[in-house]
Amino acid sequence: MKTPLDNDLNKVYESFNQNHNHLRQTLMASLADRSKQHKKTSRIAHIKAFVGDTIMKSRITKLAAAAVTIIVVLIGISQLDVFTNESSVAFGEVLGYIQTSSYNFDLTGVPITEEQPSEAFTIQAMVLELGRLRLDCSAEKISSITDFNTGKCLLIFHQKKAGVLMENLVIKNMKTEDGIGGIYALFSRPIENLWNLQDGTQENLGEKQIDGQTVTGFRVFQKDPYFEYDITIWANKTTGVPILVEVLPKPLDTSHPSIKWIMNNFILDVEPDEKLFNLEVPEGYTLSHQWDLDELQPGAEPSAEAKKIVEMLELWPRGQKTKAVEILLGIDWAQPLEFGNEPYIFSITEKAYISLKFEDQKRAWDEVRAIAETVMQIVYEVLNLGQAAVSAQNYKEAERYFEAGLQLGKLLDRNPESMIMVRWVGIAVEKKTLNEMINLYTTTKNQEKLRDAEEQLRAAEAERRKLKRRK
Amino acid sequence: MTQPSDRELVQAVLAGENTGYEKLYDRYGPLVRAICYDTTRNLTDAQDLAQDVFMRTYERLDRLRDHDIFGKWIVGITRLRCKEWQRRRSQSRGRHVVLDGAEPVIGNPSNDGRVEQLQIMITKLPEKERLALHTFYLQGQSAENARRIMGLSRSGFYRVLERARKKLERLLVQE
Repeated sequence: MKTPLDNDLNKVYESFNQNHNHLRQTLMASLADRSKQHKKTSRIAHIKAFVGDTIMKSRITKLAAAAVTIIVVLIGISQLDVFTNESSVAFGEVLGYIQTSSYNFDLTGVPITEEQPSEAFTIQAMVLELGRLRLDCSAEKISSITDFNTGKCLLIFHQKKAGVLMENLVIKNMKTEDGIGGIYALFSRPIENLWNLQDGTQENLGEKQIDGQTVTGFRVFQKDPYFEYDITIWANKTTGVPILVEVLPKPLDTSHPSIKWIMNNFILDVEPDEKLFNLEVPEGYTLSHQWDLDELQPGAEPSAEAKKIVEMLELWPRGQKTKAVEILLGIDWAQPLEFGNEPYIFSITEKAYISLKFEDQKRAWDEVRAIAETVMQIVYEVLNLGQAAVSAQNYKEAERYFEAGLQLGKLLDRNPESMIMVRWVGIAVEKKTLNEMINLYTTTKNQEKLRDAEEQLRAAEAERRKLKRRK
Repeated sequence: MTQPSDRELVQAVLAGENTGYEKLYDRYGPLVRAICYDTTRNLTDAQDLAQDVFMRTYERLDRLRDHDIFGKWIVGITRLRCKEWQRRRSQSRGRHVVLDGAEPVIGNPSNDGRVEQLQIMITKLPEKERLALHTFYLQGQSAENARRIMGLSRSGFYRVLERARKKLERLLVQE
């Protein structure tokens, strides 16, 4: 039964019947003589294609092209075998597979370095249709999904559960600001090269055997502003199915890396899951480089104890170290510690950090790193003071210093969603101070506190290992 | 009366009977134009490009090994030719992506707003789904013909077609 959509679609498709009879007549008129001289006319058509459809639009170039055509015919078309030899037939078929099917294959990169041999790496590639590509690098847990038709590419970093969306994908410069464009170009170019190949530009390499199959070889050269590509394609002699493709980019500028690309294990006519080519980040992943720092969710009004910590962090770089330590020792850690948006070290999560625009990421990173350094300096100071107190057998005072350092470490490590770098510093501080506390409680023979400190140290170690795996 | 098969028509053309090619043109002309339109987004350019495809196909007809797959073959040639057209066009504009943000322009716009809207929606579908719609609606709504052209199984073809139709319905509701 026909639905309203069927009726509308029929109306849509009626437009493609417009002028059909007239177009048929025009076509048939131009084909009238061709059936008699099929070969010759086909050669002329190749020459015309060679001269170029676009330049044929100008009257002068039309005349010039006509002259070229006549001269070529007069000197003997047989010399132009490059356009008509047997290999171009098969090459067209090979291109048909590469440029019109859905297929999977392995893409292996072999770095070419003079200094030292580098390891090859293999990426799984999937083509949904011309211009739509997915690459999965399982070793690095990175995927890229590209739609050349819309100029968009999504890079997915599975380990970090993050994605970067690149739009207006015209990689004019291999050295982009964040390096991502360059990496992307390096991987996708070999496949773009294959999509851009044209029948009639190849050199026939003859036949050979690969894995027990007789294959026919073709060689094509391409060039862009950065590389000259030497492309070799070996395809099954009978079916035209590609068996082995090698792309060797020769850098025009020697500062570019050079990698030889090998494509094999082609599986044709697959029906890939279209969801794998979706340009939206998978559920649970964060889209990077989208937000400004100012656009992050506003934090709470800082609590009284949090204000003290902020004050301490401001005083230390100004050289007021004694005052800063005094404030630290006066903090009541049992009270709530709520921070505002700033300093970012206490507020920004790893996901929020990933979602920041590139320049804001850098800003946030610089600030967090500077404050983390200040925290470490303060901790070293209180540990030194604590050790001095131990030497003076002032164990109560020593414990106060160590406890302050430990709490500062715990503050950085308290939120599992915090930036990984912040938690890393927090755990390091905890470990350092807990070791001092273990020494203290061993000296004072306080078994209960010793056990507690040892347990906390083990927990910190376990947390560090967990974080290392996540990193 | 039974229609001659693609194989019979191709063999007739190779034997010098151009009427066979006329019949192939009637059978596949609108489909080739529809595929070209996906690239050109302009009916006049699509018609020109389709004429060029039929010229090329005619010149290479003796290279077609399996005469039964003429439909699949010409669709493949059309897609290649479209890619070439797009590349030349982008080179002449000095850009890689030609159709960024380009709105489709149809030769003789329909008075029916929904139909026009539908035409635009189709260009937004993935290529495989567009092709399923083109082949189905321009091949007399015969799933058998359409699936042969696309090189899919019958169930595979219906899956793609259904997906395309559902997406269109969803897009139309959203609009």
